[in-house]
Amino acid sequence: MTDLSAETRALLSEARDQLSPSPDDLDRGRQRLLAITAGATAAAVPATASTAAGSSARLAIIGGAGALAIAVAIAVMAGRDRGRAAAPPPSPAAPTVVASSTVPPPITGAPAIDPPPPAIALDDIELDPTPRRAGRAVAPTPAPSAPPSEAVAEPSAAPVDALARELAYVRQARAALRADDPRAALAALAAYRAEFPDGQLAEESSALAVEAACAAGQRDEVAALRAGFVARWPRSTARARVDRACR
Amino acid sequence: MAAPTDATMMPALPMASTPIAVAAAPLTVAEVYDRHAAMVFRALRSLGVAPANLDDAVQDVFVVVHRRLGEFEGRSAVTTWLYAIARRVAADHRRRRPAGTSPLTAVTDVADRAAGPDRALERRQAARTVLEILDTLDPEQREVFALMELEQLTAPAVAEVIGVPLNTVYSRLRLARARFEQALARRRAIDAREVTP
Repeated sequence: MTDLSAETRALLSEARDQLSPSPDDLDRGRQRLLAITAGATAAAVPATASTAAGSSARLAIIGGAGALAIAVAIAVMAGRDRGRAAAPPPSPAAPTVVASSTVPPPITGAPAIDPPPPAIALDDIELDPTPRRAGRAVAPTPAPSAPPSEAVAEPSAAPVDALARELAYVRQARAALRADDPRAALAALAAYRAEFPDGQLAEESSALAVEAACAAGQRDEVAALRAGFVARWPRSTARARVDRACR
Repeated sequence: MAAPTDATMMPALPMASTPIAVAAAPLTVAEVYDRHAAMVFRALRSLGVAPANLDDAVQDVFVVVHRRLGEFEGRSAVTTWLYAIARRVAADHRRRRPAGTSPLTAVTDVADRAAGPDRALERRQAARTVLEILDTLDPEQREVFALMELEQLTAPAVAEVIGVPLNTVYSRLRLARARFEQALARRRAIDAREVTP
């Protein structure tokens, strides 16, 4: 086996240090994670309870902490995303991660009496299955007149799959705002509300709606949306963003 | 909302290389994150995810973890599972990267955590060099090299993550090491010519 030179190993060590996340990176990721898992917990418990007796209790830990964390974390997500390079908006029809029912369970292992095979079937984890499914209509951009829920019917979607779709809408709205296309953002948010009238990301989507309406010059709409937001989430950490819009 | 359970009562996660007995030590997503997020961040970068997409990719990994954790039976190390998910997420992000773009151009965005400006520059340059060379490797060689030489996984662990025989891992590693050394030597020769008048 060809070994690496000491010089190359030193270079790799330097690179490894540099590629490691900072505490801020880790904290930001943790807050995002809490926001997602806290929001999904209540819906996810019924789906997971049948497969793992302890899972609901485990997830409830996050859920318990999440009532407050979700508001904080989503605000962090939103603030950070505004500073990031623009990326193609994700299609709600093809969320970034759809942990669908086709995803094999993680590491179920081989029979105990046999040596475990090298393959653990994780190579089959499907992260973005939608585009490869035949016969499924894909709406590249959601619009109020043609919500993705009509084009992409997933009647048996698991709760977390729904969360991925919610995230896709929110990301799309953010991307549109970053691209100075508030009307596209409003369309994405309208589609979100149509599909998820009481969604887990309602707070963030409502804050984005205020910002998008402001960017679109809809000042009257801003006032109404702001009033509705403040009435529903008076202590939201997104409140400052909402209050700043068009002022 | 279910009543919160005191997370401090949960047994600590075993060491990374130790298979987890989930029945005795239930995991939470937060615990998995706290123990292994740094590894996931770094692995995603070394597997070709650009800094601009890194947070989303990390989130993608843990969304999968969140959904599948209840089914994790602990027959293998949680790190193996995480690397396998990260590998798929990285491949997905690479596929969606616009043609002609490279994740390497953003190495300068990597956070500066060195003690001084000279060291910071050296580290940034080291990371940039490594990622640039990794990007020239065959994807199969790249992931073996990244997982073994940067993440310092053992060959059997990499074989499990990727799902190939152990001999295949060694074969890819041998080729990747040779190509990495060759590419590095070329870069240094070029750098030396540029410095020499």
